[in-house]
Amino acid sequence: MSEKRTILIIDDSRVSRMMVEGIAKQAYPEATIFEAGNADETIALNITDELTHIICDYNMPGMDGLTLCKKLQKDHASSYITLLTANIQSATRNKAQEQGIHFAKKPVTKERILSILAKQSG
Amino acid sequence: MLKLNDLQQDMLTELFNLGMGNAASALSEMIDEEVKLSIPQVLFMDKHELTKIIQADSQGHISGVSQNFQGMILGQALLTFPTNKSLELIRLLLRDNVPLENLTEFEEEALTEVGNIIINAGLSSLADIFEDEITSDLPVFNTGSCEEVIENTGSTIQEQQTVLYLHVDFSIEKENIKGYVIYLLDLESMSILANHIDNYIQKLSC
Repeated sequence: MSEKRTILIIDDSRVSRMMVEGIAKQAYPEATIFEAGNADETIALNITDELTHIICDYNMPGMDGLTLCKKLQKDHASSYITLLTANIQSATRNKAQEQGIHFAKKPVTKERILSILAKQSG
Repeated sequence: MLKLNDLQQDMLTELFNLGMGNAASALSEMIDEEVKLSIPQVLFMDKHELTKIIQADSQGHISGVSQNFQGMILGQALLTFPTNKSLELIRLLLRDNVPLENLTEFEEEALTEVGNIIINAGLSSLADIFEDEITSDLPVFNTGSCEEVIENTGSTIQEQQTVLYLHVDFSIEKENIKGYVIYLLDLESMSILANHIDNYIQKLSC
């Protein structure tokens, strides 16, 4: 697991962000990790680095995760984008897939996060 | 007053059981312990009666995470557990990620996320079975007496309004932690749900 990962984690739950970050750092100690609690914070980060992975929650204050991912897809076309959510309905999963966003269900587990980070876009 | 017939009630209990099975599986994944569920109860009552029931069964303070939902049906979900057990629960949840001395700092946020995942697992299951969609607001955390927690959930359901009360106990035996998941529906949503159940039964029998 030596390839460099640059990861953006967006979740209004600090605990979830912390768990994802902990798992990512353990597997990829060299990873660069950005964190945001909602869409506004994400936009304010103004990330110019090339992100290998974006892991985004769905239900957040303000803009929802799918709308935010749509925006991020424009600037980070090569990122592997995953919606990580407790809203595990087929309707939400289908919307993500139609948008070209990968889907993973919460809770955060080591297996789930490592599986996301092992994949790459394209 | 609208009542579900025996078949509808039986089907709803079974579907609720499936949804709670998903919720228990999510909780079990989070804490890496077996989670046991009681047989679900489907009852009709007003909010006052509901408070009395939870109060009788939970000594002292409780913590609760509530979430309003809408879409196919409109209502409110509530997850409760005794406050004195909440640190135990998050210790299991965050065991590798947070030093023990910092656990209390994350207590509210961790419990809110637990509530979010459990409540949505149940709602998602119901929406999928009926091939429809349910959206939920952000989860709200409350702690206090049973009455305070239920009152502070921001429910749109009035005190005397009859609600459909779907209730299941979950327990993590090793840790002696017990909690409740409750879904409250107003009468209009109950009627919509009854129609969905009828259609579902009809589809099954075709």
